[in-house]
Amino acid sequence: MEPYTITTSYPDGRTEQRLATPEEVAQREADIANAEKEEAERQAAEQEAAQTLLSGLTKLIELGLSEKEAAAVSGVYNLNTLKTTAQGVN
Amino acid sequence: MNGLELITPTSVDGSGVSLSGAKVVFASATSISINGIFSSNYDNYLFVIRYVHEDYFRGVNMRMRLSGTDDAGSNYAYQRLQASGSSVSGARTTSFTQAEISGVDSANISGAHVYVYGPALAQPTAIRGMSVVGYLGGTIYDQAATHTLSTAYDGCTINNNLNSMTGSLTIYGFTKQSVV
Repeated sequence: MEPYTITTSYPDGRTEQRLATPEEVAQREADIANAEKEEAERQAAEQEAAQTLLSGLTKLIELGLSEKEAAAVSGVYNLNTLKTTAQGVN
Repeated sequence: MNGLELITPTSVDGSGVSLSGAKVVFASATSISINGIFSSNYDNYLFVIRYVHEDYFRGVNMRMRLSGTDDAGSNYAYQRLQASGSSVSGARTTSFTQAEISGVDSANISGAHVYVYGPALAQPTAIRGMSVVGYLGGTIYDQAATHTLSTAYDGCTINNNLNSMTGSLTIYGFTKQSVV
């Protein structure tokens, strides 16, 4: 990552600009890497939970419940949203 | 005077970050550093934040700051509670380099109250964030966080690591006088 500009603003309207230090750039890179890892883990966990719930709903429907009944029994608010999440689309 | 008192930062740092009186205004900012807000005048503080994010629903983080330098050590821990539709979930992160304090979503407006307890005292700091995230029309995204260093801090940095935020925030101090 290239050094980026940091602007300091004061209550009287003055501003000053400086380039980020190497330490600040390195910290920013580490923050982004951590956030990307956490985001990937969160999305994977969300998708896995949705797939499990959708699998259970499908089995209920196979037993004779309507989609509306199966969704109500499992507390699913929006079946289409669940299907989208299970497919990994955010 | 009793109650909450508005605090004007001595300065703010960041790309797209500025001051409008006491209000911290940010446009397409990824990092908002706020200097000179915590002092011996108050023990406890309230941040009121209103913002949107340029991308999908994200968590927002805070770091303690002293004389223009953030503490980015592994001195933070936080517990998250999320409620969306009928789904309620929680997660804890420990020994982390920042504390999650709220969430923010794209398109739909998000807002948060973040309480910070004792940041300018030479003892650990506690943080409690309560936010409404516009995701799916309204998602609860709450946090309880701690910072373990017994250092008196004078500021903080609010980070969104992926993509940027647009909005504003104000900071209040709880007066220490007892109510008569």
